[in-house]
Amino acid sequence: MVNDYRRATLRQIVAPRAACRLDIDRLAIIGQRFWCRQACSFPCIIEGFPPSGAPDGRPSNFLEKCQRLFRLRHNATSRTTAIMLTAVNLACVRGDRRLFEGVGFSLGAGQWLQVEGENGAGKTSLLRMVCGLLHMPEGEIRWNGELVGDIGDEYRADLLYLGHAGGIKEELTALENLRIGAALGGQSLDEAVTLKALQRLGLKGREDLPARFLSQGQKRRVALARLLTSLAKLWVLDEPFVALDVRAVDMLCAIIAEHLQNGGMALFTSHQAVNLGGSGSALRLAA
Amino acid sequence: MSAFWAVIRRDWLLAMRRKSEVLTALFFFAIVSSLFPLGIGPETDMLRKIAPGVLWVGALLAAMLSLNRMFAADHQDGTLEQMALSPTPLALLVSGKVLAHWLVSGLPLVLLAPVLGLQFDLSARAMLVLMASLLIGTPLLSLIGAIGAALTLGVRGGGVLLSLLVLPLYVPALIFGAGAVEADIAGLGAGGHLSLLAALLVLAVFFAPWATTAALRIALE
Repeated sequence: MVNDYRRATLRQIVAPRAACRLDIDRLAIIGQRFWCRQACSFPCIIEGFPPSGAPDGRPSNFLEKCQRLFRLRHNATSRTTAIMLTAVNLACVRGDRRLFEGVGFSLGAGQWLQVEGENGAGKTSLLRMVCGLLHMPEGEIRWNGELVGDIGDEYRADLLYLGHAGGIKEELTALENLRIGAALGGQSLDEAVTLKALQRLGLKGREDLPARFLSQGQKRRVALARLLTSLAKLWVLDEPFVALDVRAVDMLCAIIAEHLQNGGMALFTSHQAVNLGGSGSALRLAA
Repeated sequence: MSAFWAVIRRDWLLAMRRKSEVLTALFFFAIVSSLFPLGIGPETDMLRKIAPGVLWVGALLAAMLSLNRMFAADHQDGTLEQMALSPTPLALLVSGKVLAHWLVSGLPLVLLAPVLGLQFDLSARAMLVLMASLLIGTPLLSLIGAIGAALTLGVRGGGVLLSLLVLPLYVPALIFGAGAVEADIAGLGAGGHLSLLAALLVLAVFFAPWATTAALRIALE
């Protein structure tokens, strides 16, 4: 049985859509993973787990060792909400203009950050840097304490980016768009889940219509439906409220708030003030 | 790996929904290679001599037609960003796209070639060799073309630039592809040419997705 524990790759805390407040004393071993009793849907995988330290045939001692190790590694953050995304000293250079420099922030579970600034202040650039789409001339971005460049795939699995263009193919139906979009992220969606997501965004009856017959706002809704089906923890949304009507804006706010309550994070740009509740802040980029 | 198949399925689906793009390349191939027998007249000796070169050049130009749309649409609607952000390596997804491109615009050329070969009075054997050379050669064209398409992504007037970039790189494929058919007609055997063509293909399968990915990342910045 211990061999099974050894085989489990203990690398990081994985908490898709679950509470991120982790009480280490309540860790338990269920099956091949550690689970937090507080929120049972919370598989906890511990980073840098040394198989050599696990005593054979004594799972209780094994658990203690893991707990101790976990405390050592996450000393500062194990009792409070763990800080997940940190950016330090970011700068953006476009041509020979420096758009911003010395920008830093940290985003923990359940927190949101609204990036503000005038047109051309570099909001989109900042977001694309966080996603790794744009080269960073200075500074660093860490995810759970590790440089995002080093953990590449792992970070991208936790990330959902929605840019100006939503990645919607005009020739495909809303349903196909959503399912293929999820498949690109390595996730297979069954039809019922997809339909439910589309229904919630008010696209009932339009699931099988090619996207070119949808209005701008409806296309936007199809793109936003990905938020409901994705398992990503970090949402990076570039102007998510554009082209949405008042009701849809409220709906999106509710969706984001739900995500935050489940321990997710949201980083977004918007020119309008939005009320998401929870703990959030604004980052102003000076032009 | 599921993302790889998803890309192929999506591109196939897209091609089936806008058939005009596929059919344009196919008709272009048919018309261009029909113009030669019409212009030269019914001298079968002459036609047989020029057939491999003409058919290969026709296929090459037809394959070029659809190249600039390979990544342009994805770039425009943000799908390319999503592909770059997928946990699956971008090079693998790019390979999927290239494979889909070949299925949609390369494979039909291979299947159409023997029909067009009839106009040049090619023997059945020569037509088989022509098909074999195109079967090995057209994936090569798609792979090399993908590099050019990625490099010229987002460039104004990229179409012409793309031809200038890619056509010189197509020369080896053209020489060995057409050479295989000529050698076979001359009774020398097509084995050598086809082997060299296959070697080029293997080389491209390894390096082209990597180069394309690097170019795409630059285009995305």
